Amino acid sequence: MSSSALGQILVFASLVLTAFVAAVAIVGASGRKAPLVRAAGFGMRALAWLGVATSLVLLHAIVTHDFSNQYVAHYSDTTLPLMYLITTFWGGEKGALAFWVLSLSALGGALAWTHRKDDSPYTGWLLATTALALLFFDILMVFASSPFETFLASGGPADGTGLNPLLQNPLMAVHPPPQLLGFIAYTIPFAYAMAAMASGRKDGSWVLDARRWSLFAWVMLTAGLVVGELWSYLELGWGGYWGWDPVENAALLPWLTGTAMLHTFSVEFRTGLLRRWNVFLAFLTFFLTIFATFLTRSQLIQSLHSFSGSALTPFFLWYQLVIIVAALGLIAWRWNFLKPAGRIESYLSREALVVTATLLLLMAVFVVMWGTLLPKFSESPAVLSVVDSALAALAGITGQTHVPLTGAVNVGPEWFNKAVGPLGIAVLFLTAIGPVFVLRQAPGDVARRTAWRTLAVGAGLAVVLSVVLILVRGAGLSTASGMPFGAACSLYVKSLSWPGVYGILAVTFAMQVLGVASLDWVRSVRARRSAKSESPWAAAGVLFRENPRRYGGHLVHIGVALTFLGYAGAAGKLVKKDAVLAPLEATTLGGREVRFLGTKDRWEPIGGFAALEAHFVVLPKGRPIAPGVLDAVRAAVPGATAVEAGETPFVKVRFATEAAARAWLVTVTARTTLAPSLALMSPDRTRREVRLVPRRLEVLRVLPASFQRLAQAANLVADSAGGERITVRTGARNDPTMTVAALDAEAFDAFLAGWQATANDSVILAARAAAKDPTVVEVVPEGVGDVMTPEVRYYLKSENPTTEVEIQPGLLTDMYLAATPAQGAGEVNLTAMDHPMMTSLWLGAVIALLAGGALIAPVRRRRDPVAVARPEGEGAA
Amino acid sequence: MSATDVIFAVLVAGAVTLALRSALRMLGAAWGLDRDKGEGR
Repeated sequence: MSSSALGQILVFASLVLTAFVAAVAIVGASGRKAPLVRAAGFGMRALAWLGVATSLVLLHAIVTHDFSNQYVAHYSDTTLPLMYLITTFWGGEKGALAFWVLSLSALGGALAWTHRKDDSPYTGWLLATTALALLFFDILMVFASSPFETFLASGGPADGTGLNPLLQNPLMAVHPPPQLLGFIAYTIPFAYAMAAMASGRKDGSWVLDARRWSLFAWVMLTAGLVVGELWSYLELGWGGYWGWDPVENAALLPWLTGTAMLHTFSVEFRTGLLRRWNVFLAFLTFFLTIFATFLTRSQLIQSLHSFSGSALTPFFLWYQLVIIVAALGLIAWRWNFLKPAGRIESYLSREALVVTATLLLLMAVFVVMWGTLLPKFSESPAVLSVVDSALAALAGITGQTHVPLTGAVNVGPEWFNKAVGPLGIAVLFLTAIGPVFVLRQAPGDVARRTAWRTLAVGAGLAVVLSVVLILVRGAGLSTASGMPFGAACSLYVKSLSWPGVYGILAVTFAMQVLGVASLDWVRSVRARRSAKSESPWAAAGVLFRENPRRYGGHLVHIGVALTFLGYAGAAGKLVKKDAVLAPLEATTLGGREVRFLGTKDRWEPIGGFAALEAHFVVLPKGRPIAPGVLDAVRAAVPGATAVEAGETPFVKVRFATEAAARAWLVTVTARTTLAPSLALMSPDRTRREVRLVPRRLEVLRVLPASFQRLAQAANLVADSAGGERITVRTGARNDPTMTVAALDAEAFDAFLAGWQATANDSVILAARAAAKDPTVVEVVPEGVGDVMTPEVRYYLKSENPTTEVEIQPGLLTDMYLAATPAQGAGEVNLTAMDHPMMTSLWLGAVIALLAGGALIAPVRRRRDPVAVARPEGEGAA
Repeated sequence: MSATDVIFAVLVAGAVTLALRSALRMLGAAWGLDRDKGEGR
């Protein structure tokens, strides 16, 4: 039996078993039949193993290059390294569905295992909801989109089409699994909410059960989003927030509601409040994961993530309708039952702040959804006229002039920043102040006075830190650009514009989050140390272990604050410069000089692409050349009479005669520009002729222009020999060789010497004849600055080249270079950018993820004594 | 049959066996045969 046939059988078995498990669970839960609930649990575990078996069969087809399988033939080929072969699993729509089924059945199996000792109707409904969610994806795999379809007429092609080159990046290999797993895991909190309502559980214990799952989903989704961001930063170039892809926006929606849910869960299980909020947020988050997936698959909006020719749209529309009707129907039916245990007593209590933050996050959801869908919806004249009349009415109220809409509305980053920026800032402010307020706090008590004091100190600290940040950045800018210190500080403040004041607020509130969290921790550490003789680090560790929710929460908030700092910096004005550069020309950016040295090509057999690397040297403008660098050049050029620093980054190498200088220049330029790509063939000393052939003919196959580039480089070497001393002839069409002839033996030997590598002179990166003095050669040696090599990759199996940027990360700014070949001889189009605060963004994400991950791990479980089993109406802590 | 084929065959067979085991336990539980197995309540 072929592996595809086995896969089809397993998928079909999975569908039948899922339907059976769902039916058994529903009958067991509704009829209060414990044996059936237990049976459903075992069935769920069987489904998990079936999911594993199905995935193994698909993975086997991929790694053994079974091109009789359409999916494998379409998304992989024989040149892919193992890592990207594995990526193929989820690289296409059908594989992504298989991944969904694998993950959801595995989570369902884990869920059944954790509830193996509970055969109550609650567990029955929990398993039923999960099985029904899984059933939808089983149906898709069987009836609409199976990864096990084979070629009917033939055994399939000899080789596959290959994976999209954009996806051949280590980050892309790891981006989809956590992203999808985040989406998928939000099924479980939803299932808990549905189970609690259907089974009539009154105690709110479902939030305790669902909390760890929702934290797991949050960590996964956050990791997926962050890795996706990092990938788009490295691979596509940073288009700015909201600019990259509508699907990124859609994926943000469940993250926003999921973040709110983590906080409302925490309030319910400690106070019994916000019950309706929790079931609604569990439903909404789950719905939004399906909605975001629908947007990806349906091609409703133009997206990089769309898969062409998807047949899933009607299925997803029906599924969403079913979810809305079922979940909202259940919530409406249990509305009175979901009555909270008391009321919010004070606007300055943590529960009130959580509700406020939740409302803000929901507003952000609405705004992002509106902005993402509006361009599509406004293509319909009816929607356009409704939007136009609404805007006209709004203009009438505000007294502004209304410009009628004439075509589809385009919503750009500016709109998003204007609409979501204030909401984000407000949420950040609540993040800063929320943790210091205690739950169910009565006005005027001691805890509240402490809270105010912490806030005041935190605010003071925030102002001080913000000022320090501005001064440090101002000083850096002033040194780099030479402008006065005051002007540099003011320029930095303006560069934070999001617009303007948002940036400053973001910085201040982020600092306040850092201040408040640190203060709380420091205070607790001090209190602990006064009682026990522990080191501060040991005390901090014990505190974390004893109350992970509080201190882990602080760490997550610190991570989020650092991320906000990154957003404030990156969403502000990036310093960006575009330039066309010939070899050894330079441009400046933020006080740094970026000098183009030249291009080199490279063949990568694994992956099957030719890369055209552009080499740049980057250094602070006017930085003197270190004595060590001069010594290295002296050692590399024994024939030189003097070596001295020239205009940075050049070093002047002086020779006794003009002829010696010229000969050495020929040698060194041949070595740096020609020898890496061209090999010598049959040097003829009597005729003083040599043929040069490309070292890798594959490069010419994907990049025919590279031969022309090498011919241009050879002509430059010939020019450096002076006059007609060296001539270059290229072969006839389809003859990838060039013949170099020298007029005299001296020029011929100098040219050949370019291929005789010695360890010493490899320190020379580029060279040119000095403009005024013919006995001097100016060289750029290693060590004068940082060498950066962005590249363009040309794939054998893809017409579209990809641009691989090079980034030099810095504490406060990243230097970001992207280069593509330009029209002129050896020239490149350079895009250089200064990305402020990116390190803060990634560092913050790592801290938030690590802390979130630590909170999922089963540490000693501390159930708060108050909440869960408290009778209604006795909510006060 | 290559070594890769053998490894995958063993893994798939293992997963299918465990699935069958759970499916049998499911049927057993539905008929109330698992009362004394230590799981369930």
